[in-house]
Amino acid sequence: MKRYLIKIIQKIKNFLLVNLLANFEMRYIMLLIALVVLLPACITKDNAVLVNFSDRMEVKNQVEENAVVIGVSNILSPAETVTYYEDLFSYLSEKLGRKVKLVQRKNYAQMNELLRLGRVDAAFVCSRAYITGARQFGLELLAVPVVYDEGPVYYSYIIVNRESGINRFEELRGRSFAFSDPLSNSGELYPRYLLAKMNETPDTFFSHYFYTYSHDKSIEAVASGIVDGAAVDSLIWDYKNITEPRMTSKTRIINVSPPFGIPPVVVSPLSDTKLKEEIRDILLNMHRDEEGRRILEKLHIKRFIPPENVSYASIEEMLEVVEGNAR
Amino acid sequence: MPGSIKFGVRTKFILAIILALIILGLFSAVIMQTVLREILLEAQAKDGILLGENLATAITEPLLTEDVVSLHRMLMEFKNSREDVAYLYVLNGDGEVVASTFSDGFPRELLGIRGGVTTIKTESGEYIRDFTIPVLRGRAGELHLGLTEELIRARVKEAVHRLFVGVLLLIPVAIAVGYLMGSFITSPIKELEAGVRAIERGELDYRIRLKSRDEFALLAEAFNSMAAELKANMAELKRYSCSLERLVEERTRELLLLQRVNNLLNSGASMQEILDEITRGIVEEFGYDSCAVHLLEGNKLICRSYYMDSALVKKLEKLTGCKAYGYEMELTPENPISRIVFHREPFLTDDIETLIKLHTQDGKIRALAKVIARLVPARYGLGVPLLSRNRVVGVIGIGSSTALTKGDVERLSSFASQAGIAVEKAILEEKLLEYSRELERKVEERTRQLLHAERLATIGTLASGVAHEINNPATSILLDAERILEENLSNGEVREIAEGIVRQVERIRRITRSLLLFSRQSEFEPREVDLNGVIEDALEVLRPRLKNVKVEKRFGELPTIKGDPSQLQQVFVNLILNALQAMPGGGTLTLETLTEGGEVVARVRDTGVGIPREHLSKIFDPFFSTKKPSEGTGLGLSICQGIVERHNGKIEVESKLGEGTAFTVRLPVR
Repeated sequence: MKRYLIKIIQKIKNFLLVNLLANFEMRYIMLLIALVVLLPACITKDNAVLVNFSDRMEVKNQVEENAVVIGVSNILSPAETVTYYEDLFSYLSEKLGRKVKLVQRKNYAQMNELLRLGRVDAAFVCSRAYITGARQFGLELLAVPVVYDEGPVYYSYIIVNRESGINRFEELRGRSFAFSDPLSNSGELYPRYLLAKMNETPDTFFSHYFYTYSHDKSIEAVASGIVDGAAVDSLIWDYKNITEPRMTSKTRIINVSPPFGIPPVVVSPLSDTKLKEEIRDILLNMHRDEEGRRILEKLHIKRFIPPENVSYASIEEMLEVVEGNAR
Repeated sequence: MPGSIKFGVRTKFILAIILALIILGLFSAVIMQTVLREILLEAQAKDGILLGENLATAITEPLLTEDVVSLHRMLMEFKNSREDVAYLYVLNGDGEVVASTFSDGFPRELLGIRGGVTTIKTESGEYIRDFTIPVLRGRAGELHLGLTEELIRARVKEAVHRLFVGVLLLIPVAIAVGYLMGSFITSPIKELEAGVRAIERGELDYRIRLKSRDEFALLAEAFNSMAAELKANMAELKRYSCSLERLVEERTRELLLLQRVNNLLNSGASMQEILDEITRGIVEEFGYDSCAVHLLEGNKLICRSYYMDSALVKKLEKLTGCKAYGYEMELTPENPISRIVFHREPFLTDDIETLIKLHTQDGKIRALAKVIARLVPARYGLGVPLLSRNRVVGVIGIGSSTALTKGDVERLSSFASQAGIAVEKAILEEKLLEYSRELERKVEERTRQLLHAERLATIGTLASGVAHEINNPATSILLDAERILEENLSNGEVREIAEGIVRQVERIRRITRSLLLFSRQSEFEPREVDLNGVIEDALEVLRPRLKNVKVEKRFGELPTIKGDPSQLQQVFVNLILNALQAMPGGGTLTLETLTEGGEVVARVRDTGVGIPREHLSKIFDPFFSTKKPSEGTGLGLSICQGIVERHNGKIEVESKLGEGTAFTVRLPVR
């Protein structure tokens, strides 16, 4: 049997030798044909994923029923915000046992609108935005952070470029200026207040001005010399100065406001009471567990305290002055 | 005949170039299809990723602040800025579609595309590559950029098309180049062809002359040397075929000769006839001058057959008066011919005369050798062993006036090895014939001897009868004579006569007794015997034959022995008869008796011719005889030995050629 097989193989071999290989031209033609046929087969590889584009569906943002929606005002620019609040939000989500969705808007007004409509359950907002919200639709305080030793307060810094010779706010006359948000306290109300006291308005005092819609952008604008001065949230400037002083180091503080009530955590009046309580409990007790403490430390927050301890009177005063001046 | 060419070199050249072009084109096309596409795709991918990353940065804020309108506008603007953008869409951190360039719903299956670069094939067969670009490192969501490959494919296709057009345009050029190259190559080929045709026609002196210095020149050179070699080889071949023909002819002759020899053998020819045929055949068929066959007998080579050119033979016989064969040659170690026998080696010499002179004692042969040398100067000789079944039976020798070669040695050796069998057969047959003749002769002789013995026996019987008949009247005569003697004691004359009668009658009685004893031999009758008396009786019987012989009797005193007197008498009659026959011209017969160590010894000695040494051991054998059949049966001594042995005695013989013989009979006393 084996011998028979060998015989057959030898016969085939002989046939090939005689008919193909012995024929010189034939051999090369065969080789080339084989090459031409086989080469594309070797090279082409089709590992494409099949997708049927005609199978369409409707796009709608279905917010998960169970998700807690917490807004963050654009005190920081949206991208910074995401990074800044990441850990805190996942902590909240873990404690609540529910998904927590972070919602941002372009300006404070839009965030206030979401709060008014109850589209967000809670939000980190600016102090002035809270005052406005409280006035307009009964926005409620939930808790406040403590950052400085002085208590639940913060400041507005008037900053200029380190290289500029400007040392006082008054010297900014005829210069360019950056506000953060129209509803900002530290980034808009305080400099307006200062102007009002001088019987000036931004239009009369500055050569030109604009809104950056976040404090980190304002710092960047001054540092890079886009504007001559800006009013920024002390919390942001100090935080940035410690964590990444690249921009703040190019700025200089020429005016520090009196202390204001710190930007609070608020809840929509439409929010579920139980949820409110839950969130408040988590925030107020955060500093008591290790994970919470670590997160707070990273955010440079000492702890959250109940809102009864905070006073926004100074801001309201400033508002009155500014609004009066405006009228 | 010039063969028709189906496809000339030129055509093949053109075809080959076109084929090469096409294959090159196809190959290039394949390479382009893959490599060019790959390159373009890579460039597109780099481009896409870069642009996508820029766009991702730009859409971070609108995405985070859920500014869908801005997002949509940005995506649409981006899409419109590039023609290869198939689609764009943005997913938020939760993987939900926030914005896309699709106007009518979102392709559901597209949501399955995740991360990196994915090649997508649409239901219409379009290839799109999806680049997934994370926004804010994925925290904000991801941007999907779909870039179609169709444009690239179209460009590759276009390039391939151009390539083909180029190839097509090159074909006429290829034909022109092929035509020119073909012409360039075919002209030397035509030269070569002309050369080959010339060789075909047999013009082996044809040489090609090429001006060029390329491979064709080498080929032409090779061709020229081939033609030269061919010419040489042809000549060589012719020579070889001639020699081959001759070889075949020789071989045929050799075989025919062998056949003749075998035929002779089968037809019962004698050895001499066969040997003569061999020598004659070798000289006539192989063309040598002489041939001799020597057979090995003992330590000698004996020439058994010799053949030579007849004219030469006549001259020789006239000159010497002798024939060549019959001479013997001792195989001594100095004799180079002994090597032929002992080492089975052919022996070549160019001086036969000296060889024969050195190793032949026969003067005649020496003279013959001298004559041969004178008649045929420069004699070459060759001897080969005559082999039969690997045994040397003889030597074939040839003589030649021309030099002998290796070819001669081989031819003769091969012939000798085959002829040897025939020769040995012939020898055996000859021997057999001789043996059978000898046997025949012996049987005849023995028959005659037996007849003689029978005749003797008849005479014996007759004689005993006669003796008996004579004995009775002799006894009466004796008694009468004794009475006459007693009565005439005083009468001297009568007493003398009577005593003479008594003496003569006693002699008659002794003779008759002897005859009776001789004829009564078969019966063994032991009695006291006086050996001296027995010998006397034997002498008496043979007295008539003792005329010219001198008889010497030396009888000693003997004791009697036990034996059959008639048989013992026969022993001595025989011994004395033998002695007498050994002395036909007369001599002395000595009869001696004595006692020796308890034995009685009787010796019969003659002074005859003696017995040859080689016969001494055989003389007691029955039927052994050196005499003519009429003189003896060959039985005598054998009978004697039988009788002596029956008496527990011995019989011995001593003989010296030319001096005489003595038979000694020893018989025990008791």
